[in-house]
Amino acid sequence: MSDEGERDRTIERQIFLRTLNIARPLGSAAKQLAEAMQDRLIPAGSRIYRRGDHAGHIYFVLKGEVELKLEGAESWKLTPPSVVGILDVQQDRARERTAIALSDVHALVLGAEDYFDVLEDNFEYARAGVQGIAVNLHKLSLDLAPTGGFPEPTGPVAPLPPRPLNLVERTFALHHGPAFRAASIQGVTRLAGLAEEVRYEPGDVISRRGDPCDALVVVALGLVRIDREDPRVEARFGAGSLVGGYATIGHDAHEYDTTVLAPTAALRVRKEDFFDLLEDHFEVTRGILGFLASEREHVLEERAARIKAGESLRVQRSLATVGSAQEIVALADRLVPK
Amino acid sequence: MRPILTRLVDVRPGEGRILFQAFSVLFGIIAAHTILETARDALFLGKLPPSRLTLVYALLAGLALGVSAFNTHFVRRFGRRDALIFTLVGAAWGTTVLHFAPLTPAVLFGLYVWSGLLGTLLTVQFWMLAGQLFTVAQGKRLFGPMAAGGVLGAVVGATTAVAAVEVAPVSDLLLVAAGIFLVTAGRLTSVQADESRPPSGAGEETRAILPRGTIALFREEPYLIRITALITLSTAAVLTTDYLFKSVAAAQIPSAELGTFFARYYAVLNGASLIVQIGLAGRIIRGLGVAPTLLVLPVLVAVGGAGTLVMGGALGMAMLAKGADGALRHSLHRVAGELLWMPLPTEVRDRGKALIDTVFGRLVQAAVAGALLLLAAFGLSSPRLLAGIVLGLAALWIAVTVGLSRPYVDLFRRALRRGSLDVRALGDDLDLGAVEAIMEALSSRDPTRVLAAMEVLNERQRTRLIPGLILYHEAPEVLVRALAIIADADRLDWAPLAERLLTHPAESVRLAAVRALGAKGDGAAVERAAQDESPVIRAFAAVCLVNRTHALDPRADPRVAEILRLEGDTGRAARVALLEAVRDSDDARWADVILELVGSDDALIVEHAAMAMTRAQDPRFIPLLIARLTVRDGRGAVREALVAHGQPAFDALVEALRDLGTDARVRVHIPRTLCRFGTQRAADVLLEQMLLEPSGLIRYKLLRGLGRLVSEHKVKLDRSRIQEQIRRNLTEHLRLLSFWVPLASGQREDAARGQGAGKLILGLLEDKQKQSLERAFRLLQIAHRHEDIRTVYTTLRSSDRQRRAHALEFLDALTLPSRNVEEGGDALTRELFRLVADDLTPEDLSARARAYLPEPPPTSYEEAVAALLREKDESLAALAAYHALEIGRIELRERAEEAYRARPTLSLQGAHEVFGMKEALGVG
Repeated sequence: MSDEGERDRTIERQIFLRTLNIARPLGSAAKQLAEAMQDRLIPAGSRIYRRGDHAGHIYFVLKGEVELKLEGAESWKLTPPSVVGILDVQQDRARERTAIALSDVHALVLGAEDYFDVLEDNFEYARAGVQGIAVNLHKLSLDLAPTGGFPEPTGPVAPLPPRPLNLVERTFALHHGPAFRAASIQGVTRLAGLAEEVRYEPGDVISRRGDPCDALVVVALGLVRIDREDPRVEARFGAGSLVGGYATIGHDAHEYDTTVLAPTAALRVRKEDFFDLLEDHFEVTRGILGFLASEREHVLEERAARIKAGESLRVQRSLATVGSAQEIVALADRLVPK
Repeated sequence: MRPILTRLVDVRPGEGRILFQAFSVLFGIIAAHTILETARDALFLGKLPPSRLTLVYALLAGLALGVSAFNTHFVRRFGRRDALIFTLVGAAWGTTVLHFAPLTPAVLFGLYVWSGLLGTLLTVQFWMLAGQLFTVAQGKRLFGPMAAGGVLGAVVGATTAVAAVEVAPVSDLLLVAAGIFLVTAGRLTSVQADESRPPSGAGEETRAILPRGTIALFREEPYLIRITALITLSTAAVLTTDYLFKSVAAAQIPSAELGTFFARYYAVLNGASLIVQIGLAGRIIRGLGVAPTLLVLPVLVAVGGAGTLVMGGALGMAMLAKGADGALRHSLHRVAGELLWMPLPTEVRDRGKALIDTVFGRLVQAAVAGALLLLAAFGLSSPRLLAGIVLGLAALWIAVTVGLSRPYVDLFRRALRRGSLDVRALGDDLDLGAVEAIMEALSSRDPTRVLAAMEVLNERQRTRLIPGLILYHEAPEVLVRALAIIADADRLDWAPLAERLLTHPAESVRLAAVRALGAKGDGAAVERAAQDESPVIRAFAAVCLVNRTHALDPRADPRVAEILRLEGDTGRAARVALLEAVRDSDDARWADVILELVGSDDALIVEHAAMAMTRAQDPRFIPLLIARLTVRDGRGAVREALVAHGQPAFDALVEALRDLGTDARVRVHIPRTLCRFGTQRAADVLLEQMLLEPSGLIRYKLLRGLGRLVSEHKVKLDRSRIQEQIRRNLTEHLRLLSFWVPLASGQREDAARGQGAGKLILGLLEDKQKQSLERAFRLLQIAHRHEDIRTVYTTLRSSDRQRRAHALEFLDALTLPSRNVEEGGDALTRELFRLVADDLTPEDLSARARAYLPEPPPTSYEEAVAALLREKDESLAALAAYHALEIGRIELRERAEEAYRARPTLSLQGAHEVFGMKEALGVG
């Protein structure tokens, strides 16, 4: 293709990218993404990729419908504009599902490494992506009332030492929680150094819904509960967990009341420090993106399972207006805030 | 024996087998061909006069063209390995047929041509295969030893021929040669060549279809013209040198002694060639680089030629020139010459090599032979004249070689850029097609598409393409953004349309309208806005109106006073609007208002007050702005404001950076702020502080700041300091690796050690190694601002072996000491880069790095843990102390406690309790 033709395509791609709901890129990020993409026409019935394949590309679908199939699980049908294959790329794993073009598909294909390069070069874009996915996850999780999709803590509630936690203990607490498991050790030790340890007694309120949310709180030792109404969600968080999950990353105000259930040593990390850390340690950003992608997938699957089981879900409000369960899931997959 | 061999040849694990296979195949090819040539010459010259040879040369030159084209298609069709196998089997078959044919003159002609073409084809195909089997990095180490197989094959072939003719007719040599061809073909079947591997050279992806013609090929890849020139000149020079040497020898040595003289001299040359190939070629090429290595032979030939010229045909000088040719041409020069092809795309390489090596080589030989014949015929072949010709050809040869150096590196640069993001690849100009796409989006009812199109135009500073009629769009967000964008442009068409928006139901639109019209100086519009029902609009208008007066204190204006008195959410929104208007106004009279509002308890107002400081300059703002650097939102604007405050802000920032007592959360953002000044002084401060800074994080920030400054502004830096920092980081990388190796090995042996802190230590060491390497490359980028070092760095970490080799070769060429003398380059930096970038196992790398480490590396698990206890980095030391307690060895426990006593900041108190915590967290 001539330079002129390629430039035209690049402009069209930039306009398309800026209309996306999923982590809409701006400025140089949009330009870089547009230049790294390639157009691909995929005939109806073709397999775009197969479960188990290396996840080397992301497909931005402009036209046509794509189905993501997994044996024993609900299929996801995506309609444009949608992004196919990004969950695998963000989690740095092989393809979890098989993608089939249900109709003729026009997609913009982006290499996984190019995607990460753009994120690394444009930290504000990466930050917007992290926060946008976190906010969207929170919205999705509200449909999974009353647990919000948060897992129950499994380990024993250990007694607190009568002294401040040291660096290694803080590092353990952060590194063994899901949020920072994929992050580099160096990033986590730095985060451990930046964290402020706060002790709580049972019954203490750490924060109330609506309070400014300027820090992330990780339980090092102990047990806390979050809860809210409309919809009613209640969950417990034990050692190593990020209290309130992803919602705290994306929101400026707390979405839950947070109450202490057992003597707790919490690590409080200012969001400013957290995002500075992400900027300096891109691998931590990749780890967080991977964590959010896996959480998102988990929430989507649970939603789909509940819909299939005919459970009463808050999501049924949407069901009435949209249609099939697959469409709800597909819609959810595209609903990452601006 | 093995250690001696290892010292001579740098063979890495996994390379020995393939090297031996390639060595033995080349040995077989050359041995068989030498026997075939011996039989050919003896049979041909035994039956036909030597004058017929000229006919054969011409025939060979003509056939070479067709064979070259055939060879390219043949290799592409079957793959390099299989093509060579087929050729060898064909060679065996054809040679056997010739053996049984009656030796008529036609058959003898055929035999000569057959052997000549086989020699060319087999050599070209073999080196094509070698180019596939080995990367350029491996080639630099292994081509020398591999080519020794050829020399050995020639020696063994010649000896075998001599021995064979003692007991059998000469024609039987053909059968011996055929047998060796066949055995070699069989040997080749065991060579694993991955034909499916992606092509290795530069520009593969974009040039799948090449122009078919030879001229088009050369036009497509001008580098081939340089290679052709090199081969032409070298062939001419060595042929003339050969003639010079023989004519001088014939003139000065009695005929009876000539045979002995040549036999001994060639024996010495063969020995020298073998030694160079096995032991020196790789080292010389790695030490000098490919292109400079190619200068060794022409320089020696030139010296020999000059000596012969000056000394009137001295045999010693002629021997020097011929000796250089004999010892180096088929060893060092051949290896470097083959490497010269490596950065080319496979397609170009295959076609170009077949063409140049076969056709051009033969043509040049024929032309030079003809020219020498003419000189002799006219009595002009005196040693002096020949020496003068040799000198002239060698000088041209040197010039062409020098000119090859840059294009060679450029090819690697091009190969590395391929597939990587290059935002500069396409210009920002919009052509008709792009404009059409944008106009289509601007006409959309979908606000997101309209906004997207406006942003594209805004970023390209082509906002005049946004029609004023966009202000009729129904979406408020489009109107707000359009007013912000088009009001900045030097145009008036939008103003009447904006005036009607002063009554728009959406407050945000009315605010955007008054803002745009106020900036244009439309007093009437501002007056109307001052009567708006919304205090937000009124606040904005108030600022605009005050700015049109000469009032010294805006607070005295009743409209402003009213806004400042408002309370609750309304007051908050009005103050924010007022501050936004102040930020737009760029008027210093508002400084006191800003200072008053920045003391507010409301974070939103503080944020907007800080943003307002970015335009209204006042020295009192400087400390406030510096403190504000800790807040991410608006940090960019704060930095702009500090830059706008000029020297006083710069001095305050430098003072805060140098003062270790400054809040670390502020200090960490100062380097990037200083780089925004974009001055020589800023660069000097950043570099100076980088050498002094105790905090690793801030050193990293200084490095990032300096990197950005250098990329955006033309500043001069002390290169020797940069090189020093590069060495420091590379040595640190190797030092950390020396800890990692025994720890990883120990954890493989005893999985329990890899639980808990042991695992964290390994992870932290890996991260720190990566970090030091990344820093070294960032520094290299600063030293070479016009190169794309980041792509080199990412390529070196990729899984693509060929691309890694390209990156390594590019890096090697870039850090050549001769290239960078003025830039403070040195051999140690280059050697360190080569070490860390090479394809080595961690164990091998650690062993090789020993010589560069400040202290002997630990040799056992316990030694490594104990050494880490003394580590300056507290995270590593604390983890090591915990691990020492975890694994429970008494000696290590004692050393951990000792370390804690010496450095209480390690905070090891309660270490035993960590195990309870590990259970709570589910840690192994």
